[in-house]
Amino acid sequence: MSTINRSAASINLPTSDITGGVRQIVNHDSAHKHVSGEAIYCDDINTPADTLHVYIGKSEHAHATINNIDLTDVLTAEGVIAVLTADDIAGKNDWSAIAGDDPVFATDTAQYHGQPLFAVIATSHLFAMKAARQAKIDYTPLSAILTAKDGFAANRLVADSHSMQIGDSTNAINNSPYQLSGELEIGGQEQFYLEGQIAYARPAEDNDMVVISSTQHPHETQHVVGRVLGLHDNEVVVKVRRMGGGFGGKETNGNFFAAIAALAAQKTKKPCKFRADRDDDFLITGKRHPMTVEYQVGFDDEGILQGLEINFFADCGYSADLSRAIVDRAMYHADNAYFCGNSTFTGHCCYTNKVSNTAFRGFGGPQGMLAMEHIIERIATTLGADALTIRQRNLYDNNHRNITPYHMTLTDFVSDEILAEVAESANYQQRVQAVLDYNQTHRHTKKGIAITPVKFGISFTTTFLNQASALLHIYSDGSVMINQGGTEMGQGLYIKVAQVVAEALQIDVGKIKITATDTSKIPNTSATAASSGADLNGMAALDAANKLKTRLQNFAAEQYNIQPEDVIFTNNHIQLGDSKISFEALVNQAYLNRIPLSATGFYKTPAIYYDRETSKGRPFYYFANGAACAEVLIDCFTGESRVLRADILHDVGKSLNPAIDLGQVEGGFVQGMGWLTNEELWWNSKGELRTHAPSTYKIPTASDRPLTLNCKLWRKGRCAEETIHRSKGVGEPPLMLAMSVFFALQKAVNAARAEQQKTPISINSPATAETLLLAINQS
Amino acid sequence: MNNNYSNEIQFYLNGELIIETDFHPQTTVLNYLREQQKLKGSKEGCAEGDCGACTAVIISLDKTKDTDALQYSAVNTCIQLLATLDGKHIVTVEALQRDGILHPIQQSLIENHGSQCGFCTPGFIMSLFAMYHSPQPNARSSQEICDVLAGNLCRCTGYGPILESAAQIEALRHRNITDQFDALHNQLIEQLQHSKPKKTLLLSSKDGDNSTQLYKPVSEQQLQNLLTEYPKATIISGATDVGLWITKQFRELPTLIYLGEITSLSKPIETDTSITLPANITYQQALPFFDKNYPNLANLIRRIGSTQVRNVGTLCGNIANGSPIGDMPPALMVLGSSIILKSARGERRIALADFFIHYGQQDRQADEYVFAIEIPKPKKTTTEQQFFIAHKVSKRFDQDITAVLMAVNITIDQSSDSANILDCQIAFGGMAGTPQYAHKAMKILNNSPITEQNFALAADSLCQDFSPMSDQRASASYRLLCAQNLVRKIYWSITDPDSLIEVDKVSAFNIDNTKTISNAEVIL
Repeated sequence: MSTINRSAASINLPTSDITGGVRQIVNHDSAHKHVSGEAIYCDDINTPADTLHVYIGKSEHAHATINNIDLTDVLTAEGVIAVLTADDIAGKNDWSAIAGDDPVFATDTAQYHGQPLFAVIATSHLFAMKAARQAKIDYTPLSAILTAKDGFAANRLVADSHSMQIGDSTNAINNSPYQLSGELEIGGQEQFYLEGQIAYARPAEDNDMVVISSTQHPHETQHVVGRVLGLHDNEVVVKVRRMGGGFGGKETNGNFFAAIAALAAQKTKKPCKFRADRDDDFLITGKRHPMTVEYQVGFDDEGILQGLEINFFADCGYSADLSRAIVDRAMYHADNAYFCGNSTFTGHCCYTNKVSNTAFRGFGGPQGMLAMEHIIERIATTLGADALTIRQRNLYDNNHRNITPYHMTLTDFVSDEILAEVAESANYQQRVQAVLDYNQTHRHTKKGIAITPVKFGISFTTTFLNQASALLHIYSDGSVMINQGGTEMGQGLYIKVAQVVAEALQIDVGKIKITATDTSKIPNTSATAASSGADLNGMAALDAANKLKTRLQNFAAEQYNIQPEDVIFTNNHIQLGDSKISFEALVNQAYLNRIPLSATGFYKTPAIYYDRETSKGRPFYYFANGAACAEVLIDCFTGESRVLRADILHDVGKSLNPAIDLGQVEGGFVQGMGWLTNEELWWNSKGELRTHAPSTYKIPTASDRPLTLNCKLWRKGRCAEETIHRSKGVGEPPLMLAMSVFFALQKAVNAARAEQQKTPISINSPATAETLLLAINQS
Repeated sequence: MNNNYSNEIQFYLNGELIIETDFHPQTTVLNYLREQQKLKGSKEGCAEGDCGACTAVIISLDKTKDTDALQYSAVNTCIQLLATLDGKHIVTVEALQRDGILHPIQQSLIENHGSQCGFCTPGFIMSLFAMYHSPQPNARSSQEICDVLAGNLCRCTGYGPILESAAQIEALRHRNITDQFDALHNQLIEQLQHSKPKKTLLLSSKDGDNSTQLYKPVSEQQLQNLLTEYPKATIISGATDVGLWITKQFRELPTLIYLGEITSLSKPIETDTSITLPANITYQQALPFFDKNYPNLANLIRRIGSTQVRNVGTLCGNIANGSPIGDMPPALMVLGSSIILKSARGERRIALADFFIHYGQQDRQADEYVFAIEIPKPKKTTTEQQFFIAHKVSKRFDQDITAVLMAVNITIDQSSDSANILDCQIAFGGMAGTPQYAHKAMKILNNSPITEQNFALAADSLCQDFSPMSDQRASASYRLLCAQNLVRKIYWSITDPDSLIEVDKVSAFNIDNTKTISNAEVIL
């Protein structure tokens, strides 16, 4: 055990003598370019002088019939070259991932405020933006559906309702000593990647199209561009070196921007760039789904769940996008870390006249878990018990209480250990008493403390997506180039994959060139999502490295007349029995002897399957786990709050790169805090989103970080499954550690209410100052 | 062009003298850097001065001082007009390396794993660079470090490693690690002394049917003449609001007049009883005065915008634009401040409260400009005690726009045993179309004893003076309840301040040593 000293660029090497093998603290591969401003994002690419700029015109109504679009004034505006409407689409007017319901340009009906109706191509970004405002559009406004429950009541669903069931929940609830029912409102969240959506398209010969896109899913972007332009996948190339953040917001939504840029390039035969202004990025891209949760629960005197029914009403917006899978994941995670016994979880994908909601770190999981933790808190309150005790009583185990509502048997449940460790290291029991004492002696401010677990399933729940490829070249001088299908959005995937290759070939990571994700190098990639990037692509890269290693071993054995097993790769050299030569020397010999030095690697996650018809199977290869304890302070005059301290313990298995993983844990936690506290999306009664820029939508700043944040990776972490070097996915799970903050706030509210002889209540999310003050004052 | 005018600006960009002539008056620095100079390190994250990804540092001579001193100011280039760079030196992230060796700040951020996606990183680097060159007598507290970084949003890291680097920079400076800018100190001063603009700048441009011009007068006389000629002109100094009219609203602004070169609008005038802060005084420049006289007001100023905004935004601009959610007006109103307006016709002085007529309308004639705000200093008597209290409530503590703001100036008679309120001024922002006094509450409290009940009565009376609106910042019911509670809170602020914790000031991470920032532990 050692405390990380961040000022040390490297530390003692745990597994080998090379620099930058697995489990080593290695800087992000682009760190020096980030700090010097030399990292090139899509908008930074120097483009030819004849590059044109595209901008979109948007619906001014949440729901309206479009009678006429008059673009006369747009066309005559300064700098305008052409306009694009649905008529310019040679292929299909649809940028959706799956369902076929996301028009590039709405034609007859506008289904949300901000929906793109046309685009304008001009000689500058500014001219295009200004011209787009000159359109004269004749609408007949229609009534708009603005909440999930209204969509459900109108029987407007973007996908069929779906249930997961185990046992007889109704009967179990009815026969329980205690029964509760209730409702919870959970707000959405804007991804707020710092680099807004952008794509740059360049026409090539044969009418091919090359698109540099800020996308988490190059293959799908390629396919969508092809679909819209009327081209095959092999006529479109999509490349992405890095994104300035994605968080799920660029899993499908990047497709739209790429399609627009490519359409403009197809029409003008010039390079075209489409960069959304931040306000429009907010208006026209999907967010985390707001959900209304209704539930009934039965439990016994000990607070142990007997029966549970939860209905999720998800505000999906106007189209399906990934909503079905997202709402499924809310259901998969409505148990969080608890054995629910008899339960029925149902998800409703409700239509609303809003932008179509999409992936965001956690992908429905956060909403499901929040619902469960809300229920646990209510049980504790009802019984007058400490919430941690109720949590611990309800945890899964690895023996009998180990079947999930989707009939997966848990064999490696560790949340009990992690929860106990955090309770201990955070001094939870003593601090609960200290908080009580504080609240008794302080009238104007109140504290709250809460501890919550996280158990998050890792794998795409759509099984076929769990595949990946990599391409590894060794050049004749011994330098190595790795390419793989995952995208880099800041999470450190590229360096992790390079570390895997370095470890396999036993060469310093500095000798490995990491190259941009490119659909012409790796076909049919899955989105970099579901916390699976390193799991999938790391394994694919390892497969490629092992192939080349085997070839080199066999070659060396033959060349030096020794057994292949006596050819050992170690510390930038190859041991050949008693002698050794450098990696470069062996590679050069192999080249001269016509040994192929390029290989592809492939990986598919084993053991997973799922039957959605019966809602049974093993959708997840394994679970990532964590727990957090948070203590907060609220001002009872205003409802303003602060997080005083948070203690985090998170399981990343055996970390591929502890510094990168720690960054994911800390960053995910703070992002989750934002979701549950100050990040409020606010629509007016006309269905216009009024929080559409950082001036009105408030993500955490530096001072919002907890005063003390003790953040640790779990010492015992080791993936029970054969993942890449026994590591675990880390992208999404830590976000949900922030639930501890939310329930600590709820406890502080109830401390204030107790002083006024008011009964405890539950709060809705986000817990803004307004939410908290109104909750304190609610009668 | 008239001989009195010049159509060119001169400035230094990363050490190189640049002359730009006849550019569009509304060109922003960010677009200029990225599109003309192809310096792509500064990023556009929002184009409204709220995310800090475009942060660069302007080196200039501190005009509030008589001797030539350099000041390094972080600014949001996305809403800074190129024309305002005249006579200054702008440094972008590209210039921090020396001979291929990273600046200590850059090195530190790498070592701390302070970048993930990296898009915000150049902006953070530049904010930290400005901090590095703004030494203070004592090492910065964690609160002060948060103030430096409040204008830079990061969505990936959770800020821990960046705060760690910020804390380490203090140590670097104490070890006298220098950079190339330290080495060039005298040369930088000399360059800036020689590039002071002498002529009025005039830029004009025609886009289609609309023409736009920008004037940069060098004297109040010229300013007055211009305002007589162009009564509809838009007057700018920091342009932290007008910048958004340009980048977001594409408003037609036919005539812009920039005050920044007028020396007589750049120096505070302090007497025994008051301070007069003219139009060009930025929040940052005003802070020392408030720190000394009204520390609670200084703390309020630290919650306006961000360092980048406060470095260029002015108090007078905050007043002149008449926003009902501007933070300075309620605070300055309760202090009994006066606003001084000038024109070619002369000068007039009115109570600040009278300046705000109703939403969108102020008592400023077309040819007038806000010359200055005059703020009385605290009274010094032994029989009376003066409290100034300000509470800003917003969704987020840092860099947010007010939902409700209450400012109170209360004078208490200490000569008798039962402390009476001699005078109580209470004003609110965010509660009406203009910043407004709480007249009924003031009436209840004036000449009354300090009792919890009196403050409760005053709080209850707010519903007669105010009927706030619901919007994205807060609902009407929250605004009213919160305002009432803030009035109730005054009682405790006066009688038992120890019973209160100002949660906005509980913002500072533990800085005893850098490791405690994150207490991060990894297992290998």
